[in-house]
Amino acid sequence: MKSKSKEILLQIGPFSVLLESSLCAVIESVNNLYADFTILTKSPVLFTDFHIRIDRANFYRGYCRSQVQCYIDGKTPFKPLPLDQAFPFFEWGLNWVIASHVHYYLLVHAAVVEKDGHVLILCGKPGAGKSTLCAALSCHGWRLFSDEMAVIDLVTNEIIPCVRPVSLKNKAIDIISELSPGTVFGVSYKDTAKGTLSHMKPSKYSVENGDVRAFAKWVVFPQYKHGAATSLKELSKGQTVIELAKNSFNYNSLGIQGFNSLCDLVEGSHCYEFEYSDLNEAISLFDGLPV
Amino acid sequence: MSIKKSPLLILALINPEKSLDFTLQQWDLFVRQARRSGVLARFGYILESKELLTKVPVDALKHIQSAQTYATQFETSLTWEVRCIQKAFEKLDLPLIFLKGTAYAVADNIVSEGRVFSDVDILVPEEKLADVERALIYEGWKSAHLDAYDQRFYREWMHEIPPMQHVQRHTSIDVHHNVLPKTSRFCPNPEFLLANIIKVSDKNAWVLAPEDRVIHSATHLFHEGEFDHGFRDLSDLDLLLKEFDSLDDFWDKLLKRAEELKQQLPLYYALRYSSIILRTPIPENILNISKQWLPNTFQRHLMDWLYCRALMPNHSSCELYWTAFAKWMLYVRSHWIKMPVHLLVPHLCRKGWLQLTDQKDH
Amino acid sequence: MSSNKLSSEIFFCQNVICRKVGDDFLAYSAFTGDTVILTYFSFCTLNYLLAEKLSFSQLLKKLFDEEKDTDNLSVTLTHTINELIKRGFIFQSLA
Repeated sequence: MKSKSKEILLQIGPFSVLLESSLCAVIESVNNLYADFTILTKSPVLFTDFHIRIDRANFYRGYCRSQVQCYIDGKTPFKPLPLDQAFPFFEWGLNWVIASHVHYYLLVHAAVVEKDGHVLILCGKPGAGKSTLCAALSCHGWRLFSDEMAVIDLVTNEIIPCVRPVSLKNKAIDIISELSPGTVFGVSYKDTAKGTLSHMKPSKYSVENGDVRAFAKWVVFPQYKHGAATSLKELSKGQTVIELAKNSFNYNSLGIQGFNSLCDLVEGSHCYEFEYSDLNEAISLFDGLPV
Repeated sequence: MSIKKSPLLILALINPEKSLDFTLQQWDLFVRQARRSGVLARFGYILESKELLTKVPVDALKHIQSAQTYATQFETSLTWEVRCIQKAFEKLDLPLIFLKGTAYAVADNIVSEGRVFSDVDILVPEEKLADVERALIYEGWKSAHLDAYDQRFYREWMHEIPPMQHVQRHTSIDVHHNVLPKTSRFCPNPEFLLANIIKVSDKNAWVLAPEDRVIHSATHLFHEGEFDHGFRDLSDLDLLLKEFDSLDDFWDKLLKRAEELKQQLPLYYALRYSSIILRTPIPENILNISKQWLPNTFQRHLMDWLYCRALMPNHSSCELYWTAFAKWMLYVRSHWIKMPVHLLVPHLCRKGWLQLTDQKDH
Repeated sequence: MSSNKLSSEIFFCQNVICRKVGDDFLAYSAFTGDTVILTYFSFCTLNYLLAEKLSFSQLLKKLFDEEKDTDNLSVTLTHTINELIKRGFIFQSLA
């Protein structure tokens, strides 16, 4: 359903984001999943970091082929998607615009949670299970920082929260719903490029503490493997730096500063490879990690 | 020719000090206009040269410095890329002539500060194309995978061979043998360009002479059909002209060269629009002489109407009425002046079909 | 490049950093973006070249104290230099 264009101005982690859309589905999803977030007001003394518009694509694609497009600063770097994937498109568009333009932080593709002032970075390929782990941990007393990227301050080396809805795919949606029955989910999107997709609303606790930074303590490379025993193996710091660099969105743009930042982070952390199949065992293990 | 209320980006480039009066909301819009146009890092370096960068509000400053960080690392990577190309050329008895962005970087032109781009461009004599292609392949480049139509398009009609990509670094190189397609109405004699190259001191690299660098930039922009980089290219011309203004006899050489290379109209447009839009200081007599290259008043007004729309920063806030139409007209014109009708019509039909069906188009 | 050819060159580092992280020696080249784990021998080589430009024989002399197996020192150094040149960590110019 289309209506007049609406604007929502949100503080998402360290970024102020203006979302504009005439698609009800997008506005409703944002109002649901970002309900606890600070809404900002446009004014001459407000600087907005990113402007994202989600609307039907141009005439042929928008109306004949029912497609939606994501516009960054009025233009689009993306191929259009089916109209019913409008809200996920906002999330993917926001990931893209941060990864493409933010070179004042070091960004690593990872899920990040925190407990007692110590940050756990879960880094790995798509399908490794880091979003599922991150969602499960955030339902068990861990504070969610992000399910998508570790945002690292280049000067202080602190990890900066960038709390957003956690995107879960396929079986993970049911697993987390069962694990934490009170958790709020957004709409389920079938037939996306990654299968069935849904978004878990971040805990109020995570959102309300969204400006509290902390330092990394553990860097873990998880791998879900059906039937595998829960196992944690120490990884050399050198190898950890190299793997984190491979998983970074902007390491190649930061030069020597990026290298030093990554080395400093790893020096202060315990680094592991982690294999698991049982989510509850995984949660217990992470609760007991050495400090 | 008046322009309805100039965008913030243009006001700031003409007079950088004025940007310090911007409200935060204006900085917000400025950053987006500049980023979209590819000149955000450039503006940062301009402010830095005037010791004004630290006066920018921190919310906007972080975005400007972010763009500068990216540009700095880009420049470092480009230095390595140039080295690798130099290695490929070691066995060839040819000067390694860089064009456009790489040329500006190698020659340390002010215009290179903050400028990022996707391909390295080089110029070689047409008869040496096969040798150069072979030397690049030996060092790890390979030709883009193109169908038979596109291969023919490049090798028979264009002024460059199909783009080559390095198998490990995934960087691209465009090997040109001229600055305009063979099929163009006013194709310059490449021998003239090759005879006027200069060696960059302390480097094993050559670039076009300053007047030729300006003319090449003008030729490229005013034969172009797509204007994503149009404003950035206009800003390039502004900075090149400002830098070369201090060279002996630069303006006279520029006019003379335009005639030798048959690029009078592109140079007229370059001088006219950089002076109108970006207020580039150009001697009045030079502007008057170039005006004679387009004596028809109607045509002059028409091109003003088209280019003063198409050359605006590529952000929705900078669009005037009929901007999309103006860009479309110039798109058709660019093909019209680059290809004769019997090649143009089937080519445009094919391009349109590929885009409509989401297929890749080179 | 053979060690004969290397002997007429001067070596230096530019836009490179190396440091110890945990038990590993790491280096980064801003030219190629390569991040690598080094042997102790390579780490020492880079550190010497980060401090000053050196010829092959000057480097050999400095590394003599670090590497006990001096028979293979020249061969190891030749191989190390060639590899690090290829990956953008070391540059050479004629002496």
